[in-house]
Amino acid sequence: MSGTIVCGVSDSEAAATAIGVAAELSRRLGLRLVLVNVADTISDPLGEALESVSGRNARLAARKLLQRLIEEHRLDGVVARDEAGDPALRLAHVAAEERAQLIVIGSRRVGLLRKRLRAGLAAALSEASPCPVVVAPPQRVPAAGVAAAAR
Amino acid sequence: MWLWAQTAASVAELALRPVVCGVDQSQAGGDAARVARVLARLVAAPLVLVHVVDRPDEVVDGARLLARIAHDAELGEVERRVAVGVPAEQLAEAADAERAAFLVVGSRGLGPMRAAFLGSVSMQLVGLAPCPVLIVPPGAAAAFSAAADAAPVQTAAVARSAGADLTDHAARRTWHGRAR
Repeated sequence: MSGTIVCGVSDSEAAATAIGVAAELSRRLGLRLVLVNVADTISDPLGEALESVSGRNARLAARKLLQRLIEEHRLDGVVARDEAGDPALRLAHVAAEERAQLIVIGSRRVGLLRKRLRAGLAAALSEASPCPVVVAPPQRVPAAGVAAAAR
Repeated sequence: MWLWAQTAASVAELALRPVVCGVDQSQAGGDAARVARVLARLVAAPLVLVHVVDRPDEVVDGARLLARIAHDAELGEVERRVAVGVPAEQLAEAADAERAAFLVVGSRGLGPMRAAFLGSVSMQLVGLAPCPVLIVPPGAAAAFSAAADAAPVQTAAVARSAGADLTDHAARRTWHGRAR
């Protein structure tokens, strides 16, 4: 299968699970992997960032985050794209541009209200995405003893 | 040691984790079934089709619906199950019981605010499912299926090899806090 997976990451624990699932799917399905961080900035109705100093700084931070994640997860041959604007709309836009077969995002373990808020990205993508969206589950924090035994 | 034992057991089993697909009578259900069929074929994994009904007296109708969806989506002799209860909870339980690699569901297009706050099944599953949830937005099934149709099917040996990694990966991360 030739094609592309777009993996949306942020500076959170959810990035690790998203990258794990996306990298595995990329390998198993033979799909190219594009890592995307969208700096959540003031945007126009189409989701594109409005020009601002804070927006430029946020985009610079997005670029650094992507570099760090690529190094941390040893992602060879991955394409990195830093974007700014509305996260869901920009991810959907990148997926359309890249003619992606899948978008992969992560999720975090949080309380009920915050969980619903965080489901906002998945909910928005489930409307806007041109391709199926994979939401990786939160990573379990193992008990200290178990973690130590596993090392 | 416990975690290693769990991981080793999972890898040793090498039973390819199934793709579980939750369906209903909507267009979204049919889309989910088509994407799940392609995904299962690509990774050489079994497919389990699940429909959830409200009451026990609806099980027979549920089974008929599953047969129709399986026929329409050309799923062949796929495993079909009818569960009774709350859809998101039952689908998450099915994924957990099957140790699913993926849970595939359709999205009906409620709109992001309604979906996030009023709770579509797919959004509820984001917080409940023990495995990655693959959501099929309205109109998105065709793009995935078309691109995948030309792809070669993994041989059992390749799939087992790849499955070891995915299983290992999953076991190490232990999706959503559920010990295997």
